[in-house]
Amino acid sequence: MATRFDRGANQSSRTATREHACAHCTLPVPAGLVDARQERQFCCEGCKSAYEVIHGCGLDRYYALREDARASGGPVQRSGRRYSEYDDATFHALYATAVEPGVARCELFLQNVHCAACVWLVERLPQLVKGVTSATLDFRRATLTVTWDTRVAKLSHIAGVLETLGYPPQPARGVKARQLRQAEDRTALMELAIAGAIGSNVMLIFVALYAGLFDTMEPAHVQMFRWVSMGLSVISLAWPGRVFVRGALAAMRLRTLHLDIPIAAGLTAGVVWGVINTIRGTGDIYFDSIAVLIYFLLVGRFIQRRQQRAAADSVELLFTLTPSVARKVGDDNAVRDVPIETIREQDIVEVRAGDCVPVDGVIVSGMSTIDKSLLTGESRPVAVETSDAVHAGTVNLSGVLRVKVLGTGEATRVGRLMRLVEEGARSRAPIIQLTDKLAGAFIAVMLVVGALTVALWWHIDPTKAIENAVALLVVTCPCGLGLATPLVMTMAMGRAAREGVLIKNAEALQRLAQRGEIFLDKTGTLTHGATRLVKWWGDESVMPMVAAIERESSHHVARAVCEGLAARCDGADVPAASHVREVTGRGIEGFVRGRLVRIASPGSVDARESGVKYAEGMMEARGEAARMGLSAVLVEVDGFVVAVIGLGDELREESPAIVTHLRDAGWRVRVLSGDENGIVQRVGRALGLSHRDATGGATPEDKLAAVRDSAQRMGEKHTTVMVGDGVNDAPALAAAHVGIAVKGGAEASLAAADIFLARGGLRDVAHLLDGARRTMRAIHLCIVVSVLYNIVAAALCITGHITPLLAAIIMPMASLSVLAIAVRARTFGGRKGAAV
Amino acid sequence: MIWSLVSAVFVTSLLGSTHCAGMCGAFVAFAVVGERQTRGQRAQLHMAYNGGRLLTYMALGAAAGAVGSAMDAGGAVVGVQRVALGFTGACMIVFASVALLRYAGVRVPKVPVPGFMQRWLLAAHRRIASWPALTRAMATGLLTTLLPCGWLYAFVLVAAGTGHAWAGAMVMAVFWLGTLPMLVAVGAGASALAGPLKARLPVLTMVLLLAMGLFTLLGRVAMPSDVLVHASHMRGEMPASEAGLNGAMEQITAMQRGERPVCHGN
Repeated sequence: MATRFDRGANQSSRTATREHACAHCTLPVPAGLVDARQERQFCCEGCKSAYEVIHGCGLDRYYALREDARASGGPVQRSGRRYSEYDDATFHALYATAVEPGVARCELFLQNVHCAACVWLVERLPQLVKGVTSATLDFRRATLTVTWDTRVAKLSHIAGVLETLGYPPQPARGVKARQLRQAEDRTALMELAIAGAIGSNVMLIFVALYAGLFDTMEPAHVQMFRWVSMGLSVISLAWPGRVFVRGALAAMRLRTLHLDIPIAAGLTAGVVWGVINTIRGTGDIYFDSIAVLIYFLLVGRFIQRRQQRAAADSVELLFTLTPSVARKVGDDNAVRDVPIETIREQDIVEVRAGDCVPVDGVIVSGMSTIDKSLLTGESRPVAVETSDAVHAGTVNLSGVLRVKVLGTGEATRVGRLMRLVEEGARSRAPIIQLTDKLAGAFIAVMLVVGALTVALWWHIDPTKAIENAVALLVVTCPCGLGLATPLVMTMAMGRAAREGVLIKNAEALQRLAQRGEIFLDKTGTLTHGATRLVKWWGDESVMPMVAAIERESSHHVARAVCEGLAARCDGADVPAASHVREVTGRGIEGFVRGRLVRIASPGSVDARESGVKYAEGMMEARGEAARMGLSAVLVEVDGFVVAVIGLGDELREESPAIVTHLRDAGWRVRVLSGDENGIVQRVGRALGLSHRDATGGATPEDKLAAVRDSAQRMGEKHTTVMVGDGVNDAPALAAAHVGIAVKGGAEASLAAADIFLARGGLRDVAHLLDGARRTMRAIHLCIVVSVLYNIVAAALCITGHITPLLAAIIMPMASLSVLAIAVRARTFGGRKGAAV
Repeated sequence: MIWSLVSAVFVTSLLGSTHCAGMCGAFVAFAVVGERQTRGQRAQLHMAYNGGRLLTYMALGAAAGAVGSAMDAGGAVVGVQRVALGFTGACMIVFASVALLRYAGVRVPKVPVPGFMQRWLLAAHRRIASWPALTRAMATGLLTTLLPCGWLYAFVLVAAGTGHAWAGAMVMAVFWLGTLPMLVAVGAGASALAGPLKARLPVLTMVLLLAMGLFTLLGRVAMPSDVLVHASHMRGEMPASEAGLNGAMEQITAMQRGERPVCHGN
């Protein structure tokens, strides 16, 4: 064919046999219209007109791009990539699917797709490459779905042609999962349609039958209708309805009880009963109910599955923490956007300001500040420069960085974290195991009750026996038990993760809803975790002078003093200091307004040979500071100690209130710290704890012993929670029923702890405990609603008040309302959670 | 029996719509495809574009039908029945024959297209280029009719042949329906739809058009009375396509008798 040619296979013969193609639509130009004098040939006036319009509107790019595709067979412009890996079996296993023998399909991410003409051009692939049967470009995702005959064409060749066209391809990621879902959905929808068609047709027949009962329908016609409805219903059960039978059989083979068993039993009983009555030619049949029942059950199941999938996605959402596209720096130093899957170790990627770092790696050039809050909880930007490490999921705030890749995807810190959380979501909490067992027992009970219903109605009205039993089996549903519980758990964990609370296993969540003892490691949880100026004793008029000296230093004590003084002597002029010098271990000194100002630790002052005089009350102040658990710094002016600065790690403002909240919720709060006992006691007093509940100077072994002891006392009914540093307190975290790590990097912490808090405050601990309680409350609500519903519905069925059809309508509604409770439950994240 | 006409027009239009994809595809692409569209937005643009087409097609069909009815009326005055139908059939035959001859390599003189159409079209497209996407899509659709497309005007002839304004509009609506799948599919794998047939389709559609014209004309010649057509059709003696065309005939004659064609027959 004229317009059809294959670049690879047949280049020389092409020009010889080629007819003229319409310059606009590319269809062959009738030979009688070819005008050799004209540069362009058109197949009709319409095309000529269209061409002139497009030309006149300056949209010639459309043709230009198209012409590229049909460019002459000369040396093609390519990167030289051979795409040989595209023909690899592993590549096919990873990215391609076999549509039928010899025909494969693959999704490719194309670069440079930016306008309609690109779509046009790329979709001409079947004409360009022999063996390609279809090419569809999803413009929005820049993803090409190509189907080709593997015996005729090679994917490497297709990729090569795409590159020639100016669209270098990359295999698209996440295709498998999506395809699988789509295929599942398609099948489900198809079966739904079949069940729906059969259901409505059988319904129509039954309308006729019911009408016929009143009119005088010929018996032969009635029989025919009965047989047709039987045939349709049997098809409905055997095709779309087979999922229930198959599920039931599988469950029976595994000797477990599954929801499908009563449904399959009900449907089969109904059909068998109807078939018998049809063959006998007398008696009630209710194929209408059966056929519509199957339809409604399938609808319910379809909606349910979508609902569940939405839930699973909330965990998956975590993966949006890292970008899917990276800016790869090529050998030619050009930067291209490529899918993250194609990035390999040792590649160089560029990260611009505002970008989320896509990989773990080392900076090879550039300087910037990085927000690492995702990984460390530290919200202050960290300065980075060449040879510093950066991690996926952190955000580059200022400069442009080039990063050598050391790990991508799952091999990154954030990837490992997400895997931990994912595994956690899959672990089964005791309550889930319990509800599973309950669901099993529930089904067994329902089967027995169903049999009893048949027996009962056989005596009252045999025509109703099967119908009522079918209704019973259909209407009862252990969804609240079997489905809602794990759903609530998974959703809660997904939402918590988005809040920066990573929960490794579901059991931890359940245990946190109990009461017990909670051990707090002081640092960082209760206090600010940084040295601050807490108290000033003595002459306040020297404050500006101290500030003048201290601002010359970068020592952390000096900075704490400066910050503290800035707040205290607000507005006062800070004089200039001269001859400032810092002596390691001895403090800092200098001249301000001609006076010698020395700021030093008590130890270094005592060690000084020349004596130091204390102004009145300063010696006492020094002692008081020590008693308060503060570290003292002495301010010496011209040889006199005129002021004492008390430095300490101050309690966070919210800590006392939160501790009270925890105690009100039934927790015994204890502080267990490695810090000096005096300091810990001070913190304990500030929090209103008895001195027994505040222990300082604890070694990791002490902590482990205390936690272990507590865990034994608490037993299974109560919970011991340890909140601590993920690295230092690892043994204690592991020994506690629930270990909550607040520091030390997420992935190391989660090795020992069950939960990692990205922001290490006590507020998050309280949120976590509240969230856990709300989660369990939601689960209990689901169970209660489900049990109540089942009891009421079962009673109505046994007494013959619910027809199978009604049952089929009620059941999915009931399951959905339970699922709605599960999904809408405000477990974590408050308002945000409710909106999901 | 109106369904025979409808299905004949629909099938022909559907088969011939590769031409539409080739010619109007560019316009569809510019009107409909944009960056960062949601599926809904794109659907809206499609609706606007094709809605615009439908409007002008139907207007054109109605006008042609009115002209046809005037011709019929004029013919009746001088004692010739169904002038429009005969004219339509003849035109279609001429049109298709010319096209086929051209494919065979015979040079047939072209009918000059009035230059003002071209100028208007270009001016209009330039003007709408800066309009918001939705209105632009609609306007692009409306302007489609200004393209001097033989295929389109062949169906306008059919519309004229019905000899009734509303029937003409309906013919064009059905023609529009036939082109719809291809033009919607543009940008979503249109090339896959046509497949290997694509290059042969222009010839095939012209053959189809020729057949349609022949039957229109022959139907007229071979029909001594409407009753005979009706009877033969009821006996189911005609092949499907023939039945379709004769059905069209019948519908048209029915209209001439002033009956409601829809309820005619069974």
